[in-house]
Amino acid sequence: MDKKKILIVDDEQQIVQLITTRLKYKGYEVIQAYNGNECLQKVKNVKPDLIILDIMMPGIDGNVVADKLKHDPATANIPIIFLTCLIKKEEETESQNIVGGNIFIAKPFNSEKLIEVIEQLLAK
Amino acid sequence: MENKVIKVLLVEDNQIDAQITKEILAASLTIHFEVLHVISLEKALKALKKEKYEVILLDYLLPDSMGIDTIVAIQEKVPTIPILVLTWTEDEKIIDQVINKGAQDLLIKGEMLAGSLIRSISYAIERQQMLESLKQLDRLKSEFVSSVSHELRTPLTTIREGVSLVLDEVLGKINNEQREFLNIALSDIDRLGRIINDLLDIAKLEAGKVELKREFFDIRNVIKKVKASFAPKMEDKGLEFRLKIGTEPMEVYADKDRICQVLVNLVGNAIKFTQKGYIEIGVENAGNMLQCWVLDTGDGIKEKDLNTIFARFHQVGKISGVGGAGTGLGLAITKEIMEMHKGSIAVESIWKKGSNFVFSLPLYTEEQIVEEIVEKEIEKMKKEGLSFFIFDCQLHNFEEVLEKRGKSMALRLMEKFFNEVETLMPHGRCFPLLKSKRIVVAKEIDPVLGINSEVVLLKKKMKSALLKIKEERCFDFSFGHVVYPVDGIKTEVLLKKIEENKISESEERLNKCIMIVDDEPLIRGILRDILERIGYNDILEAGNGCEVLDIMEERIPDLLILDISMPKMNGYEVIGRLKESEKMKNIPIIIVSQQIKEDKLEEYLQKDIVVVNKPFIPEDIEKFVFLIL
Repeated sequence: MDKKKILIVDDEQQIVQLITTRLKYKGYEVIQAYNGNECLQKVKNVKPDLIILDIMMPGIDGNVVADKLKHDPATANIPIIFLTCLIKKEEETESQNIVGGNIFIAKPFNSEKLIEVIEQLLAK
Repeated sequence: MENKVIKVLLVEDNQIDAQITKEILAASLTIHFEVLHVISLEKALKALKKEKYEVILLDYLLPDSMGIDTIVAIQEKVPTIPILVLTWTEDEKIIDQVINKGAQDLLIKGEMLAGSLIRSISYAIERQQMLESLKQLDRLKSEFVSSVSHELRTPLTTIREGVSLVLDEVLGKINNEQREFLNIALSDIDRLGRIINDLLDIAKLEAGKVELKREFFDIRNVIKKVKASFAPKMEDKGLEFRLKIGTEPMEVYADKDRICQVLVNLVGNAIKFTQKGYIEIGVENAGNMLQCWVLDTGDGIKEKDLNTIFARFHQVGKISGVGGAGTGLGLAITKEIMEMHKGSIAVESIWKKGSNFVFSLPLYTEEQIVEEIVEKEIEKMKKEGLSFFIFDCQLHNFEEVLEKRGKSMALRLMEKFFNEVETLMPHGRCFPLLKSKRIVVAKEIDPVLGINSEVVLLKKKMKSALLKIKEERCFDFSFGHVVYPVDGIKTEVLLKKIEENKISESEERLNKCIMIVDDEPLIRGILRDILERIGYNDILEAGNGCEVLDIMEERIPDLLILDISMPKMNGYEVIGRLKESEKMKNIPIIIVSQQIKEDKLEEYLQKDIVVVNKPFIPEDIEKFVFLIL
């Protein structure tokens, strides 16, 4: 079975590295991007199965990137997990509301929860 | 005392008025006004490009622009220069509109005395500066909160994930001692995270950056959830959990997450300070308030501390143990949340016996909620100088649908409809009121589209929201809308007007006339059946193009369903003729035809003429008729 491709976007290099380690360990293929424009470029080339997206980034922020992706029919169906420090754990998307589309997970994140959500979204 | 110099741009096409104004300004002994006089909006915009002015005196009626449009045009180019409008009119409505659009002041030309004009100019400049400072301060507050969130939470994220990766043995096996220490680290990382949350909460509340996301919900469900999450801790300490929440739903209109935060804080505290006995959570209806309490048989609070317990950074006694120490902010945040909800919180306690924290939330009717929504919107818009409209959509035959399809289906359909409306209005604020079967939408008016287009667009969106629900159009509904400030500036006035404006959609349907044109009587019959089935009874028929034009001499339909290939005069010609007539060129047309010429197809798509191919399915006809009318 083909490995699922996950694109991780965050301007903090360490965070990208840590999450990459975790995801690779779980058997996913990981593509990395460090800003909005890089993200959009890589999406075009690679067609990821899921995107983990930081919101606060220099240049264009996560919201603008998500908006662009949603308005392009080629990328509109890729599920996006917003991994952001702008919310707290209590404001995360509840499990029954994970229907694909936009999910919010707070930083610092619980890695178990992150993996669970990824598996849920990729199961569709 | 040095002479102040103020650069003024005077936009006035009447020479006499301009002369009077210039003389008034020239007569000032303390301020030297440098006046540039232009006579049109175009020239004003050119002048504004070249130099910086401190104030603009604007005539309401210019040769190339009038009233609000002028203000909008200027504010687009130079949003920070105060505008004073000069006019002969004393119409209150215009004055309100002008001020709401963002002009600093409006002066009546006939009543302009030297002193008042100059004073108004000084005040306008001062006020504009204050507004700019306030906006700047607000921006800084938002930036502060989000950048502090980022700066604190980012390193914590890296630390946590690093520790977590090692603990989960992703980087190799670890021994028990290593595991023990890493677990302690992880636990404290989470504790630090909670402290940061509290601090940021207080910072946001201070900065006025917290907005409640209110909805109707049964508070008992939140209580049950909180009980479940604290159950393990309770068991560990050997404490009993008691619930006094009754069997009837206790609905409250509040921010669910925040109320949950309050309960978590109160129960968390209770557990911390209780070593034996029980903790009781209860809720009861106390007239026009909902009262909720968290009672414990713990250490209690000394009388002298009772007064300061809700103050910030106040901590009673030293608490030991991992995850024990708090920030002393929990109760302060809880109190703020209660106050934001227009509720209250109080505590009674006996030292060494126990404590009882009681909070109250006001109970709202949905009517009161709509009133509050409108009031808040008005406040917001006044600050931003915007026009907005309120759209009120009331579902009618909910009982009918309830009978036909059962309670859960009916509720589901209604929620689906409301959800669709929300997705279709990304820049509007939607307030679904499930009890009243009603949805209220508030949205700023797009200055480019204009009021009427926006309303028509919104209606279309609501209709297509209904269409998306498979059992389409089972709901009958009425729309009403009002525009602020045009329809009024007070909440009561706006609410009254919305009610008056509400037209039932089915009433609208009865009033519409549709003309069917096809040379085949069979086809006309089929179309008639379809239309009658969806509620349209006023139907005209024609067998060829000539008949169409004849009938239209007497009556003009609201919609034309047209075949192309007909004897005597075909569909193309009919359309051509209609487009030539002033009266008839705007009639919406649905073409129903076997084959249509490529170039005509292009042309018609441009003109918003719908084309349905034969053989057609009834659903398509229904859909388009529904959307167009």
